Amino acid sequence: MAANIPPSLRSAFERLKNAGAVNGLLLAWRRQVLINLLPFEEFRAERLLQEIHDARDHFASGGDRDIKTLWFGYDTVHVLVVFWQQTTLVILHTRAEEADFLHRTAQTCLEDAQLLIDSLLNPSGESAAGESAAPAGEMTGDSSSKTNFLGRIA
Amino acid sequence: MSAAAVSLTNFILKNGAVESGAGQTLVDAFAADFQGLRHFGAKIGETLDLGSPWTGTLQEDDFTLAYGYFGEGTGAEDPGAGALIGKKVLLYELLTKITTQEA
Repeated sequence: MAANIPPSLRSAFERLKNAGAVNGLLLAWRRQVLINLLPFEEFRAERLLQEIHDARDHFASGGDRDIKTLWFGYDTVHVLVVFWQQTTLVILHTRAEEADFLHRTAQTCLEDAQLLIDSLLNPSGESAAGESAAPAGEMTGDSSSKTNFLGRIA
Repeated sequence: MSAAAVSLTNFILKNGAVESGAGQTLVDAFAADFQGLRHFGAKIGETLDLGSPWTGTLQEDDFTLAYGYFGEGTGAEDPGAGALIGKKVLLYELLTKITTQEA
């Protein structure tokens, strides 16, 4: 099933790549990849998203915890994960000191993009934020050069 | 995490154990989150061929927890430190506080 990513949504997140020493980013809705700008194969991006959601579910399993941010530092890169409602943004960045700037920028970008994401997920105009949101698998869209494929259905 | 103190609470990772002057409840709470973070950080690193993370942070609206190793390795026995605080704080500032505990 294909999803037609609006150019405005894609460009909004592509601009994030210029926000600092950013190596790549990934935008997802629930466990579905919307935009993959990571320097990795698609299957790695999908597996990364599953691991991130498994981590969030793990910490939430004890009760009412709601993890909003995860940040890991590796030898060569940092992985910043920002959750906003049902969307997730993963940013790979080099400089640790840019984490807070990128964190705030990502939150703002996700907040501002909610309408675009909502319209992407619900062409008929229903809200994507609530539990009544239609599954992304029901999305319609033509296949063009701007199309991303949703590799996994939640 | 209801046991989290508003003020910063520090922990030492030494010989595979978590040490702190804080109460056992906080030590247990930190250890549980630390193990979870370390586990999923390693899984993410494995997925992207990045190895194991030398630092990890999780943040909620009113809680932040982080750990970091001191550079001798990222194994269970390697030395490091961690901290938690009952509010949202800057990620890099908390990491700096943790990694300077060694001094």
